[in-house]
This record gives sequence, C-alpha cells and structure tokens, in this order.
Amino acid sequence: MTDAPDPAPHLPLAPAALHIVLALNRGERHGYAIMGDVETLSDGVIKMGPGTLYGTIKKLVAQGLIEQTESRSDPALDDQRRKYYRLTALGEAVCASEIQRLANLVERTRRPATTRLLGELS
Amino acid sequence: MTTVQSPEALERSVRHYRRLLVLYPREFRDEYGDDLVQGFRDLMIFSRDHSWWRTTRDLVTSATGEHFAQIASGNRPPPRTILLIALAIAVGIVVGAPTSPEALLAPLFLVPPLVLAGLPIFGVAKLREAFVVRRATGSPVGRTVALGLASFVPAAVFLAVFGGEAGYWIFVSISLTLIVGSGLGIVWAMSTLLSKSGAPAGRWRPALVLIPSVAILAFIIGASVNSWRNSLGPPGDHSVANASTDTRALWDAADTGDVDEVLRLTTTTCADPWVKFPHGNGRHNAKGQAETRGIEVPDDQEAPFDEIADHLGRYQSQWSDRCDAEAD
Repeated sequence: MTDAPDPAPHLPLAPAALHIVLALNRGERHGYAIMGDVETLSDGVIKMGPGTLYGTIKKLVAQGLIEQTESRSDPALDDQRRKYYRLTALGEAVCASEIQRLANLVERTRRPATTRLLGELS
Repeated sequence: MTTVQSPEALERSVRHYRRLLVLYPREFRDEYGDDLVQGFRDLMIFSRDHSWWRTTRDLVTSATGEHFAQIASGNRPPPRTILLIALAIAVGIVVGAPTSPEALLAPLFLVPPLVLAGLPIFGVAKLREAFVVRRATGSPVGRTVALGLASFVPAAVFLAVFGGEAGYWIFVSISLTLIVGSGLGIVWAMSTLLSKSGAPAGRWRPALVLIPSVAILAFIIGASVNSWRNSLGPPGDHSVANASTDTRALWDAADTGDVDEVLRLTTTTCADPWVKFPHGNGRHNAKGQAETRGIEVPDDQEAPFDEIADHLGRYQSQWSDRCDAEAD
C-alpha cells in the first residue's frame, strides 16, 4: 500500500504553473491546447507564449506534477507531431489543494465585506 | 480563428523563430526545441492576436529564466552564454552612454578580459569550445588557425577606425587582459597549492602559473606607478598661478600648432613643460588638448601637433638637467 502524495511542499503554485495545472485538470492536452485553455480560463488576461509554456512544463515534469503521455484516451487527439501532457496523481492532489487554498482565500477576503454590508443593512 | 498569412510567410517566420532558439540553453533547446517551434507555428496559424512583440517578450523572459535556472541548479552555463552576456553588456554600454561613432567600438576592448574572466566559471576546455569554428574548419589545425585569425579582428577594427590612436586601445585591451589573467592565475595557483599542502606531487604546475603571474602583475603595477610618478614631473611649483610669461607663451604656441615658436621657446627659455593647465600639458596629444580649449584642428592639419607633442615629450625629459629643476 502506498501513501497518498503530499501536495503541501508544492504549494502555492506560481501563476504560470497554476494555469497549466488547471488546464490539464480538464484532461490531457498538447502545447497549443494548453495555451488556448490558459487564455480562456484567465478571460484573456494571461496569453502564454511557447517559451513560458515549455519552461513551466519542464519544471512541472521535474516536480512530478505532470507527465508526457504516449497513449491517447481519445483517438481524435492523436497527432504525432505533438506531445501530450496530463496530471500525475501528485499533480491532481496539488491541483485540488491549490483550488481549495484559493477558494479559502477568496472566502476569507469576502467575509468582512459581507459582514460590513449586513451591519449597514441592520 | 485563422490568421491570414501565406504559407511562404509562415515558413519564413518559423525559420526566424527556430534561429532565435539559440538564446535558450542547449539542454532546454534539445529537449523542447521542436515543441517550441510547433507551439509557435500553431500560434501563427490559429491565434488571432499573435504578434512578434509577444513572441519576443516571451522568448527573452523565458530564455533568461532558463539560463538562471541552469546556473541555480549548479550546472555550468555553456560558453556561448558568457559571450551573449558580454555582448549584452557591450550593447548596454553602447546604448546607455552618449557616444560618438568611434565610441560604439570601444566596448570591444572589454571582450578579451571579459572572456578571460569567464575562465574560472567554464574551465579551459569549455572556453576553448566557444572559439572553435566548426563549420568553417574541419581539422584542429584549421580551428587553431581560425582562432588565431579571429583574435586579430578587434585589433584590425580598431586600426581601421581609430588609425594612429588604435595603439592606445589595443594597449588598454592587452593590459586589462594581462591584469585579469594574472589575477586569476594567482588565485588559482594559491588555492591549488593550499589545497594540496599534504600532497607534494603536482605542485610544480601551480608554481609555474604563480611565478609568471606575480611577475606580470608586479611589472604592470610597477610600470603604472612609474608612469604616474613621471607624469607628476620634478619637485617644484608647477601651478598655473606661478606660470611665467614664457611658459604661457609655450603652451599657447603648442595649442595653436606653431612649431617654430615651440622650438624657439624650448631652446632659448626655460618654459615649464610640467605646468598643470586645466586642459592638460599637451605632451601626449597636443591636438586633443587644443580641442579641449575650443581650438578646432582639422584632420589634415594634425602633423604640426604630432610634431609638437613629440618635441615636448623630449623637452620634458631634458628640462630638469638643462634648467636645473628651476621653474623658470
């Protein structure tokens, strides 16, 4: 029996790494698809270039958060020219923890405003 | 959304981008080079707002990051990196300084000492690789010849641009290279000797480096001190306030290129050649000193100034004996 991977040492993720992990959380992707997803996820705020993309992919692979995949889950994805990447078990754990961390952050930031608003209404 | 671009233009852009990948460390390029090109090609084809500005910014920031990551991981950066850094420094100096056309070449004289300064980072073998011209030459002999010829390029450029003044820049370059090289040699030899204090075998090699390094550095320091002391002149009051009429007349003649008057004053009077006028004493470059005082000297009228500079140099060396070290 193996222990569940511990995401804590990898948190928080840098912005580029976070967006790539979030893109791969939707399924395996090749480079350009990741760039497109990052742009969509960030409402066009983050437009990642190939250098930033593969520089970050290199780090994420070294950290064991993502891996290159040879077999395609969907035959329609099969494009021999491109490398496809997916999250590892550790990457999925880190992604879930990071989403939770950010959700908590947003929640804590909103609470005082809501409390103030309720106070004014009362 | 597909951008409107002809296949030829697309392939041309991809070729340019592939060439720019040289900015990345070799390991990164080998592993992700094809993916970078594919990503760039996809952006060119499918992205609506792709631009070279975006690509360049991405390239520069990510390539810089990869080089830093490589250094941080303990790997030695390839020699090409230091040459690129040296080039970037040279460009920075050129762009950052108010320059004349000739001054654009001045950073070149920093290249040899900068390359030498990279020696402890890269090691001899790696540094040698930086100079190997693989495409132009095939054999080791050919490479050595190419390296030898290439080492003359900066000097040739200086000669072509600066003419007679090139010697000064070449002297500066050689001096800096010798200073850096000697300093590195001393540090390496001392650290090697100290670390091998318990093992006598092989000590001769650091000693062979240490002795000439110390000798070269001592010679340069000694020559510099001697040159500085000579520039002060003999003891005595050489202030402008104390300058005699003859002394003032001598420097006015020197500044205006009046050779006959300079010759007359230096043979019939004891005009002080060491007086410290704000614009210098005109010994080494009479034309330059004249121009400092706002006297324009056309290039085709330099000859008298060169003659005066040579003559004043000789006059300075004889002045103490002839005039008994008395300032006028």
